Amino acid sequence: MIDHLRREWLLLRADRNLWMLALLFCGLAAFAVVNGASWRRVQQQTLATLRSEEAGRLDSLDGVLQRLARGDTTGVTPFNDPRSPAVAGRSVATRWMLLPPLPLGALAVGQSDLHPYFVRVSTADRQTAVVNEEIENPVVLLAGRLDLAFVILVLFPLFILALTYDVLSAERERGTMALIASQPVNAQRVILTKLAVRAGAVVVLALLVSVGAAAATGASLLSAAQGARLAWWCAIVLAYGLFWFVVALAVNARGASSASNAVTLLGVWFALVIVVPSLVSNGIAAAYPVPPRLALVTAMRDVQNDVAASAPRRADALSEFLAEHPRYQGATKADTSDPQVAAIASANLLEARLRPMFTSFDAQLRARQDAAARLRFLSPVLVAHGALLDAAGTSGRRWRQFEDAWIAFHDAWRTFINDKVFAGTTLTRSDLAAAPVPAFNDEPLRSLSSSLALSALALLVPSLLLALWSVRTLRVTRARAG
Amino acid sequence: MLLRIARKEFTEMVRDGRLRWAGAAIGGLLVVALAAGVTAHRATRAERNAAQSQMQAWWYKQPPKNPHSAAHYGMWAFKPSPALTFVDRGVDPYTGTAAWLEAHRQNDFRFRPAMDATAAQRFGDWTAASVLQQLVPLLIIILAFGAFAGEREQGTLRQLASLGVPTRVLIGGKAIGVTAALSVVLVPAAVLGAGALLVGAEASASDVGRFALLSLLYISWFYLVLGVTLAVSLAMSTAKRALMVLLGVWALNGMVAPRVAASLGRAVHPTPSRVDFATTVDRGLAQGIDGHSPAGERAKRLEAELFAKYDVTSRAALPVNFDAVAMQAGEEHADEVFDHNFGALYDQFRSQVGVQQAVAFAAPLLSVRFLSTAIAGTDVESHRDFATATERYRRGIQVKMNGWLATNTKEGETFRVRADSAVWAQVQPFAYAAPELGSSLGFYRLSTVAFGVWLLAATVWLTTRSRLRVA
Repeated sequence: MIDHLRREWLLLRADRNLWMLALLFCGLAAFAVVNGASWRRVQQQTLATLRSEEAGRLDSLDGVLQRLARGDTTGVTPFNDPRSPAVAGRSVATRWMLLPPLPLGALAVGQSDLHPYFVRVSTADRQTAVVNEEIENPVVLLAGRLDLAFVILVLFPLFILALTYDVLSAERERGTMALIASQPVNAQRVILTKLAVRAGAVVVLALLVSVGAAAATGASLLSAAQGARLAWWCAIVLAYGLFWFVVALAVNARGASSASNAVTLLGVWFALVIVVPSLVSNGIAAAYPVPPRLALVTAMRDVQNDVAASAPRRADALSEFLAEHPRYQGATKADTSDPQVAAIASANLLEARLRPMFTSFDAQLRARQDAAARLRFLSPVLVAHGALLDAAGTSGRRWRQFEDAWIAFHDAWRTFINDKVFAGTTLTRSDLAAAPVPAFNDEPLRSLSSSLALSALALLVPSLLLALWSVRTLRVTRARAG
Repeated sequence: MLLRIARKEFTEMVRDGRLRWAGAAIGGLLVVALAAGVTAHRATRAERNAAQSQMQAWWYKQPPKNPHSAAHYGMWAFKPSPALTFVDRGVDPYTGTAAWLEAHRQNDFRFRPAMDATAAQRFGDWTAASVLQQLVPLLIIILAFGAFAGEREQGTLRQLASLGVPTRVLIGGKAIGVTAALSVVLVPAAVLGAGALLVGAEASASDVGRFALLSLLYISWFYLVLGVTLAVSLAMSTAKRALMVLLGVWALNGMVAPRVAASLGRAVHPTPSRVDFATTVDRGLAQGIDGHSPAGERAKRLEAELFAKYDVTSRAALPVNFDAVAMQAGEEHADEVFDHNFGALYDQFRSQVGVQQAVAFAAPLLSVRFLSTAIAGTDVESHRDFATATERYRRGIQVKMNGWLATNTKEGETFRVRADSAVWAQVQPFAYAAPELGSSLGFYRLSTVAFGVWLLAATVWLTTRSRLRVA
């Protein structure tokens, strides 16, 4: 067997087509990785800018507070006085919630170019916070990024097909099939060896590219979490490559001509890469309608009008807010004539009215995403796509975890500020030191792994079944083919 | 002879399973895409119209308040959906759909529809346009890859040549045969599309013209693909080799080139990050575009100008409210900053598209893409035109509100005065007309040339070929 593999490898090595394909694959993969890494760098630079902006702002805030404690009030107005919790909560002491790209993010841009990865959390309503989608030429977004995930998901199967569509039929067409059959070796094994060598060569190439790319981005892959993510990435690439080889085996096993094999394989690729995702995407959009954002904007404005009409003066907004929030009622020592206090009451009122709307919108959106996650099993391409993005940390899954985290922080921040505002206290340095701090923690490896394991199984099980069927069919075909 | 060859090709293809399966799959996808396109377009248009008129009504129904508060309340503008969106929605899922037109600030369009779609959309979202651009060529390849290479392999090409049929007639006959087979799939789809346009999309006369031009574009595209397919089939010794080469070309042209071109464009003309862009705008607002005229100096200059104009020496003696005039001057200063920065951003997008158009000389699909979105009115330039119109409208609101304050209030009481609906009514309802087809296409001259060169080359090749390699 080892001897077969070695000889087949020598044969394959002499094949100019293989080298050309390998070169093309590596060239595209390298381009893709450079591309992905540059996008990751943009994100990192942005996050660094924001971190230093925040640090500088909080630092100077601290300086002002120290100055005020000494009785020096130069340059301090009611609109920038950091001792006012309303002012601090709305502007000067606000925090950035950041979603840092993972090292593997350079391998799969995924959905990360559509979702905001930094949010300024203040006492303003939730919708005001998410205005930070990254700027991008829509033409570029439409074309999609050429990242390693795309090369592996879409082009990798095409390379495999080009290498394997005629392993059996070419022998027959050249008339060498009978020769093989006459040898004292198992002809079936010869075919399987041919496929195995090709599979090995291509999959090893894809794995080398992946690991090399991850290493080239300077990633700290030594940490357990990042190492595990890379391992999962490789496992998915392996399982995905295996699937396409089994498809090639099955088509070859039918014993048709090379051209017919090529068309059939192309048909399978076409169905799984193009037709099924298209039907899933369109079907889900139809079955899980999400109210258009325009409707959300109109509804928001309706609430704004409503709040403004019922409370034309801010003092009225305050009393209305207190009526709705017994937590602060009676206990409040806030100066109700302070416009800053009235403004925060008004913002609170708006947030409370808008919340049910956002909650139901988010629920509908997530129902759609969940349906998409279930329907991915209809195509191995969708399974692998989701799994690779999850491993790289650029999927909708990680973004939704980020969304949950910043919404939780937004609530904590508003509670912190509201408590101070309605207790009528001013902020001190120690208050600010004890303020809630934004934090996003990636989900534990275990829950990510169990989700990825399911995807890996979803790739392996059909491969296995198809392989069993093919080997049986191959035997029958060989009997005819001799 | 020509027609006899065509009939033979056609019959062969109709009897072969390839046309049936591939044709049904691609024709089916086309119908699904058209139906989904019309449904989505109708829904979007209805939502957009309802939302826009609602916003407009709310503007006019504002209670008495200070005009500057009204300017802050502002208005929302929603992106219209042109009739041909149902064929090619172009960049629309990736541009924002709504912008808040408020005082002091030009806001970006927000809410990209793609944000709310599932990840499958990024490679599974097929519109009628992408089916026509990428999948119909695949059908053509599958039907025609063996036209010559297959006959050569079977040895029938030698017989054909011995009959004395001129090569050109042979090529023409095969081309007509494939075209006839293709028509079985595409003519019903085109009729459906035209029906959808007239019934479903409430098209204007200009939309019908655009649809006709779009049809012409795609017919030319299929012609080019057929030409290339026949050329490869003629050049390759075996059918499988021809198929492999064609599939390689197809994948590079349709799957790889658009992404590579987009990345190249970005690499040559980088897009600024959101944070950098916002920082530049803020710096401009504070310091002026040149970085040397802070607000205090600008106010002093304005004061001197007004004193000279009205020949007075104190603000109190001015016939207008200095604060309101200064506020409008501030708006105009900000407008310059916005024009400078947003203009530079959209120019950068245009340069990126320029690079992509240059790549179209190597990968003609890119030129078809750009021309198709330009004809449908869903390209990035159309978006820019709409964004510019909304910004103009926003500035108009500021002029009206600040103008009223300047003449109807005194300095110091600017924000204490209330105005009523008569003042709101000074602002005309927002109306927008999409740019003419000619000006849209003007941005894509390079694509037009690239596509023209390819068409010309294919035509010359098809009509002048005289030698035939039989083995």
